[in-house]
Amino acid sequence: VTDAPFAALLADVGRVRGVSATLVVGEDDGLIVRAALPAGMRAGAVAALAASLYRKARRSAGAAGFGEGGFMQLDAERGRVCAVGRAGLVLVAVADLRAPVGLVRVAMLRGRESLG
Amino acid sequence: VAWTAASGTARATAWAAAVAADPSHAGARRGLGFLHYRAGRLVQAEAELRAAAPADREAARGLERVRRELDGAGRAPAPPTAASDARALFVPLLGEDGDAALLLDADGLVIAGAFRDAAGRDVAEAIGAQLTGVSDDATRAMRHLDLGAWTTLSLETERAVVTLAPAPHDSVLLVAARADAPLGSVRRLVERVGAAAARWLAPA
Repeated sequence: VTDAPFAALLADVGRVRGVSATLVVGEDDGLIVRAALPAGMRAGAVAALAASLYRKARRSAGAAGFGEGGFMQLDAERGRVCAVGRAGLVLVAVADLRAPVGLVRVAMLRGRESLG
Repeated sequence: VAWTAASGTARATAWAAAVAADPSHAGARRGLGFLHYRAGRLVQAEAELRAAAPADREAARGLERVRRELDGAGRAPAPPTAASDARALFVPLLGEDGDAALLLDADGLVIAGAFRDAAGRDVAEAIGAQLTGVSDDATRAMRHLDLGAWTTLSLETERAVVTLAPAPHDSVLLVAARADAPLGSVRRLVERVGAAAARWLAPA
């Protein structure tokens, strides 16, 4: 029952066109808390790497004195990984190039409040 | 003297801190130069040893050796500028107050550029230390997802948008722009800084 909010959160973000996977991951350990994934995805590795990237980007911004980290977007040739964090958790979305980034961003920032 | 990875990391941190406090610290620059050399980063080694050579005979000898190896490898050293010029490499491209750019090697050590926080402290090395291995993480994540090569990583923060991009020789570019900067102008800034970094690292 305690992870029901995460299920709703993942469903909300996953409804955006082009989003193929959504995960809630521990920022420090990279372990999956809850995920909605397509078959065959190596979710453990993706979760760990996404958490590591978010943690490194957030801490580097902290070292620069830029304040709290928000929406992160990793772009690649055939898609992107987006992430937002709060309270030691990171919400991750994997999307293809059709996904409207603005909508993904809004859904994830709205859902960030549910992380803790 | 045994040289372990741990002692190397500790020395690199100490030397980087010394250079941050005093960019003319020849001993620390020589140490960083030798660390780069041991890791096979000849271009970066040449830049550090060049900065130290006028005040340090050992660095001057190391510089000669690195330059011979660079010549042998067909790679030219960075343009003959002072270390302070490496820190100022991106200044002509940074239009807005608050813009900043850094070029970091795969270990998070600063190759070029500068970064001062709101209090005026040089925090480039501290930022770089947090980004050790970020390019490798991004590459591996994209491989697992079959999304191709990564092109940029951006993070929105309260006061800035921070963008990372891959650069030659496994280095990483970091560009910071004001949080309210238009996205298109940030992308153009990243492209310009990336082109400048590639020119600076390329063989002559």
